[in-house]
Amino acid sequence: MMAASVFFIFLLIWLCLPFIPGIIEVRKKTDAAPLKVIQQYDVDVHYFANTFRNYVKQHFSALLSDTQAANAAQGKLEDDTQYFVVNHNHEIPLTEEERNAMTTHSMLLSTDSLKLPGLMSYLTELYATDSIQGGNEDIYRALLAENDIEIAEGSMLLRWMHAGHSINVKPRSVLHGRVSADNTIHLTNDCHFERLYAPTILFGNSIPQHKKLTELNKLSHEDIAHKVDTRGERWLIESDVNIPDNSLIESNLIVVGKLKVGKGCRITGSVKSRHNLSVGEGSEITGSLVSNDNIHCENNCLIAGPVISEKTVYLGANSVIGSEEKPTTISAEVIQVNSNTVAYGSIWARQKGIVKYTEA
Amino acid sequence: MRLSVPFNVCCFLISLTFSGFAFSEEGGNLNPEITQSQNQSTHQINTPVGAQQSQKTRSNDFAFFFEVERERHWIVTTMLYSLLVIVAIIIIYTIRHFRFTLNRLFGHQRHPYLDIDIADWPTVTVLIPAHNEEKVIQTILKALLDVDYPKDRLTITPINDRSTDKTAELVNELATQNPEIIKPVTRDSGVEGKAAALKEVSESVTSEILLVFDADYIPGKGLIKQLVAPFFDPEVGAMMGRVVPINVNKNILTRFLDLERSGGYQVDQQARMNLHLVPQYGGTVGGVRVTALNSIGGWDENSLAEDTDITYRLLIAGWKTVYQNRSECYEEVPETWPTRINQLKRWTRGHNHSTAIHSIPLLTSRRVSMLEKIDGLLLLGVYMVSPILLLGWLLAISLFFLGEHLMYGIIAVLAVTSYGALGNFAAFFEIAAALRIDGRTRAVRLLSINIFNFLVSLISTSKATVGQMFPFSRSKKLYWQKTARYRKKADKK
Repeated sequence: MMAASVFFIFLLIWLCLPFIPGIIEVRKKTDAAPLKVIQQYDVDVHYFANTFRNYVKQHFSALLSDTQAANAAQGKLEDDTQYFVVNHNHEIPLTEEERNAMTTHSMLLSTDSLKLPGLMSYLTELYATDSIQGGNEDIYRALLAENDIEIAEGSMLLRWMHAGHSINVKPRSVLHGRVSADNTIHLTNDCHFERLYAPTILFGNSIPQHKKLTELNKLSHEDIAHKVDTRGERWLIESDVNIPDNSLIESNLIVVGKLKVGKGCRITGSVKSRHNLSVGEGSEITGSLVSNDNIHCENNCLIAGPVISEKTVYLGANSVIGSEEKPTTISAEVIQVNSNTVAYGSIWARQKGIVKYTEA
Repeated sequence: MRLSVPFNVCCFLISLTFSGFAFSEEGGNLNPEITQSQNQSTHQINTPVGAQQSQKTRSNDFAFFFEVERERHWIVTTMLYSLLVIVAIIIIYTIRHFRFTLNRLFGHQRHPYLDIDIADWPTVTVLIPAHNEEKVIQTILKALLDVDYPKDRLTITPINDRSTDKTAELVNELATQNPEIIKPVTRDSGVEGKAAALKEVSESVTSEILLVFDADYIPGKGLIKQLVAPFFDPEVGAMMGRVVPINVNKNILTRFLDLERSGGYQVDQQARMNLHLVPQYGGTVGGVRVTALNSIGGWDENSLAEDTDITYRLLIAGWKTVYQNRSECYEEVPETWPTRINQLKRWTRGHNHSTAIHSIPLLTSRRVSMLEKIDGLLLLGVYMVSPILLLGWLLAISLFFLGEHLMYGIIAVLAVTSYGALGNFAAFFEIAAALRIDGRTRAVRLLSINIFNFLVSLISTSKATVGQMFPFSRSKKLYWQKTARYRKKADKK
């Protein structure tokens, strides 16, 4: 009897053991807050720039108003960060040690423009009430200029950059994080990027003009070699499809297989392919372009809506994505853009974006 | 995560321990060489149902299913095979949930539309079916007025359906202040219920996209754009965002439901999205494309679960439903057990109704891939698994007392897998993984006592399912079955 009682008590304790952490958590409520869901930095590309601008206003508004100071103002913030407030007449205050290490942790703020020496790493945010001009092969943590920013050849951005007007990035530069401008971002050959946002994003030297398409052959769903489901204001085709050159399709187009749109086609609607999607030279899509695989747009294409791929997007030379009046988004794991292509809105390359000029 | 594994192992050990005791009592032997020779000498004995069978030995626990050792009463044989089928079903669900969990932890994550932050946004109507929602209706309307969606493309339509409280008054107050955006609809007649309300109003909507929110939800500033973004994919017919409980801290039930929602959305729905399976439109924090809706004949006002119904009708018609995990919205979860049980029963009846209607069309559809068919069928059957599991337990225990001791291994499998496979949408390892992904490592301690929530779900859904099988228990009349609200009062500016 005694042995049985001990056994059952032991068994009861043993069975209850797994419940103990749960009971403790119910009583103590150490992790009972609702999951935080509203994260402003997720949706607002200007979040970091605005936060830093407010920080600058809060700490340096008096110093930045003195544009004619004879000497750079300096001091330390509460977190022990060294800061210098300079103007265009001042030499950038770098110690001998910093010059030798080619690295500074000081925060530099300018009452007007900021011209930076090359071959340096600036590991704290930089701010200018006017423009910032970087030196060759500089490395920046973050930049904020109320006017223009020029990134010199071979430079690297680590976190974010925002310009009140425009950003000009020279060849072989690598831009990690978010880059935004209130007017234009201009990227040149061999630049790498992740996220770009501006009313106009230009790759190359001139904004291309899309030629208006003429002599189009209007296709009906009966002209397609495969069975087409036209319910729901779309053409749903469950096989690979080749659209002939100079075709006009006035419907949304969904292709379960691969889709190849010929040269000089116009599709008034959105286009989706579950596999590779290629758009022929000079074609025009008035809606979005979506693929679960790769998207390849030849030269001189015009895509009015978002371009969304789960793998890669290639945009040929002289292509136009979106418009000034209707900016849009390009998103893919990898995005490669050719010369003289313009995008209006935002570009998000989740792994990497490359500006690569190739022969047309 | 760290806790769930030992706990499952613990269950397994308990099962094995009991099997071990039983083997000892019966002189069972796991050595195949000995048992095989014993089998040869005993297989001719014709044993009725009863204790004599306990003298039998066998080659291993699963041998029964592959070789006939002796004659059994046909009832026992039927029970044994039924149990085998049940165990197989439970194992399939377990594998499915393991697959989802592993995918969510280590697989490629699909968020294809999340980056669309700038576009020529389509016109949207946000529908908010409301029946006696005076405690919450103004909060959601104010939250929607504050969203960053272009105001000229946004219409907010609260549907006041036979409210007897101050819902109409509170809606009209805000509608008067914002006549361009808030366009309320009042229903005093027609079929009752959410599906009927949606159907009636949707027919007059001219927008391209319909979003639906329950009245107790609190959308964030950027949520509408996030919910609309997937519709730039012309193949998307419906989309679903993530539901996050806001009243987590109230009591143990709300904490259990928080776990369940985490597992169900963070892991289950997202994994189905990742694997190109069948994410489910959940009736709130989501929406449908109007052309897609019209192409399948609109909402079915007789449906008990308009969300599941729409998901499957769209799927069968070749439209996709997508899930966007980062489009999160707060909701209130039930704070009392009776409310929770009623909610579960309502969901069960609706879901099972959809199972009855859509299973065959799903399996015969040309437009649905084989993987989607399998996942779709398993998703449809998720509420049916509770009574099946209860039946499995009943069979296992009955067979034990009928002397069918061959089943110990099977019972162990059933014990372990049933714990891991169920829990409404969210299996226990899914919850653990979800909490890890959400960075809520201490909430995982609740996982062990979540078995009580699991048992309540099991019994509630089983009762609702069994109830549906008896014609006399069915009610043809549809009416509002709303969940209680717990907010103190309507917000006032």
